[in-house]
Amino acid sequence: MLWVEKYRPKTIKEVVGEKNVVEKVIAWAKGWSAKKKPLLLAGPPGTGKTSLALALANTLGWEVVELNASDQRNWQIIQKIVGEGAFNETISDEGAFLSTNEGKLKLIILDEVDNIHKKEDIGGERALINLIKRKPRQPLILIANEPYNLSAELRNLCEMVVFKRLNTRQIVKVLEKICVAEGIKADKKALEAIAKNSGGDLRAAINDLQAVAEGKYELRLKDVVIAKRTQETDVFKVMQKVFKSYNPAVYNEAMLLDESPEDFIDWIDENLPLEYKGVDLLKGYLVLSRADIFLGRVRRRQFYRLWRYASYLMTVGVQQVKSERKGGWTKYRRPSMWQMLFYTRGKRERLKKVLAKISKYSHLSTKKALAEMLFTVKFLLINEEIEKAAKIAAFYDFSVEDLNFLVGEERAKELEDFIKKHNLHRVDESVDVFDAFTIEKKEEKKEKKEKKKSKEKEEKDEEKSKKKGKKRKKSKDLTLDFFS
Amino acid sequence: MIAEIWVEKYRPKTLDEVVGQEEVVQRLKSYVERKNIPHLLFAGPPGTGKTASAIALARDLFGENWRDNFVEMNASDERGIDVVRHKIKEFARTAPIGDAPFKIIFLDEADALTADAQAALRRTMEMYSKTCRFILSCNYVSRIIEPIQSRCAVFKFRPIPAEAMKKRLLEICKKENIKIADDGLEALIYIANGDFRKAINALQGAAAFGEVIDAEAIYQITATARPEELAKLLNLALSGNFMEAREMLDKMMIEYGMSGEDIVSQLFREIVSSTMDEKMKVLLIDKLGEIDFRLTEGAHERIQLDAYLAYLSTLSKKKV
Repeated sequence: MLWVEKYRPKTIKEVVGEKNVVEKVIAWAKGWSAKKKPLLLAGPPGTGKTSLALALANTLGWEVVELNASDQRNWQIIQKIVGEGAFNETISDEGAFLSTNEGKLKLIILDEVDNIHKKEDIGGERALINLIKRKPRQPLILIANEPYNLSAELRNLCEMVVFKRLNTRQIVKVLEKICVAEGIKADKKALEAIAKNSGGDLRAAINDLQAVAEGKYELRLKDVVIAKRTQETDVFKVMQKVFKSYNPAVYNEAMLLDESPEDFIDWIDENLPLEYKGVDLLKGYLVLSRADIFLGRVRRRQFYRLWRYASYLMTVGVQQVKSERKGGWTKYRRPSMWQMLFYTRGKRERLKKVLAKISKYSHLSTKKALAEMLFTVKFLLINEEIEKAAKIAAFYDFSVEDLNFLVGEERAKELEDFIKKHNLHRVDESVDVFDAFTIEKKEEKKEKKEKKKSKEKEEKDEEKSKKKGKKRKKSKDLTLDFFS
Repeated sequence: MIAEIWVEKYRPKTLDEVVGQEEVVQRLKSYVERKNIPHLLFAGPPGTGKTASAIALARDLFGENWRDNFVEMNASDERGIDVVRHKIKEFARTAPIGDAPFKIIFLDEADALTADAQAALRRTMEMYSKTCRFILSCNYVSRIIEPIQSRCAVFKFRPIPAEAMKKRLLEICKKENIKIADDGLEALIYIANGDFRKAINALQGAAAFGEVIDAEAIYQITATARPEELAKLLNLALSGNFMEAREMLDKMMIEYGMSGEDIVSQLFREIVSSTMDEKMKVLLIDKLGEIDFRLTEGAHERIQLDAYLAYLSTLSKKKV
């Protein structure tokens, strides 16, 4: 068992953290009524947001429904709970009607709200705002790493509690307790090393401790050989030097980061416009796009030697072009491209399949299918009378999933029902006679077989990589796999 | 089942139905009479009937079972010339089916192939010329290497003349039992700019949209059915709104799956056709060309395009 789960605080008293944070949350929970704003717990990873929410529910005897807001599949569940749980009065086990005061409250914890889509209809920020405005009758806690990625409207609808990174002393204390419980005699210096390396992330510290100490009776400083965790704080520090100072030492510091120039340039790209404006912004981008050219040359020819020019340009180069030293503190952001690519991957895969069908049956390349036909097809599927629309769907051999993607679930179901009822299907006059078709058929079968397997696996992998904060492919790869 | 998507429904079944390319059709029909064709090269802008003519030609030559002896490939989709050659080999290996004298391989967007790939294609064409005829299509003849050009009869497809297009569109309206206003028809011709696919798509969209098909309906439909957002993107950036423009760019690239190349091409079209000062256009186009060149050299699309947006957004500040 993972120690982070094993030693997760059971009650609110066990929670490590700032006193006033804990008090604020308790105060919110004690006098909870539907009139209260939902709670927004904000802060870096591993600072106890989820733990506090869970411990709170446990202490007060609330049931917990924990959902990841950025996963659209969860939104069906959320809607259901909102329908049955959050708005209706609670029903007791015997089926008797209880008022909310007597019934058990269900605490809904929505994790990763800063990763939800800004513009989606289902599962987007708008849906969440509407949900909150309806004043759900069950307590709702939102959790986010970057509260300033949320719209001001959403933030204002919530009561925000900010979690700070834990200090070394707090972390060492927890690690000591765990060691005692596990029967490990630990050198304090060893624990301090782990704590320092964690950068205020308790979860990371506990994981590191488990990695070096599990099954041992004694833990000494020399046992603690842990890979240095790269923290976003380090990246932020380097960016601060790039954007705010003129100190060229930043080049060396950037080299020490665990980010390759390929990744670091995304950070600079994302945050450059937050710092530089007007002519500075233009000059910054001129240098940055030069740096990118060197990266491109490396990508094409594997001349890794050229990375140093890219690195120098994207750090010192960007740094030197500004017209004046920038003061103040800027809230930096993670490259939005990474997150968006990650969350829209399913969509892109689907689009690829849809385009392949349009291109096949309308005698076009996939590029042209996208540029010239997709929007028309989509529009007609939505706006034509059902019979014609269904025939169009059948003509292109669209699956239910394709239709869901193109026209939304409701219309897709209408179309699908009509197609089934009238038994519409392609008359394969225009099917290729040779291998392309048979290969595709085979692939389809295989795909069906593996679909289940890979889906499960994918979900797991996604979760894993999400936790590690692993980066997704960049846009260059996107187009490659998109049109290949 | 009849295709309810009009571009398919009204795709010509025979050469006689091909609209607006009289010269081309006449020459092709003489091949049908002789029951023989050389290799052909169809050149012309999109939507002018290249694919349609190739299919109609095959139908006229082979009759009902044309599909058995006709294969269609798209050079810009197939992964490299090796895949194309492999497919061609598979198809060309067997004798024509029925009493057809040869098979036809239609290679669309042949100008998407590099010069090296075209050279390889030329050898393939020679190797299988006993059993197969090739029809290559491209937008520009000049992008096809000379050895291939010299082995093909070249056909130039011109943008469909307005009158021919009008006539055909009216026929479609009649068959679909819809009414179109005169200004609606004019609008269709204008937005299509010689491209039949565009015209028919817009017509069907407008017909699905409302009862009256007038100019307004047509413009409205082309605005919704096409990613007009490029114009918006351009305006946002030019008005100095870098952040919003960038957000929009992200959306296009990720949600619509547009590549940097797509965006650059569409920006080009948008800038050229916009109403801004001509001297300004020259500057923007020059910069865009540089970005495009960098993309072909393997640069990162988002950063290069961000740089372009930054450039656009400073222009407004200088002006103001």
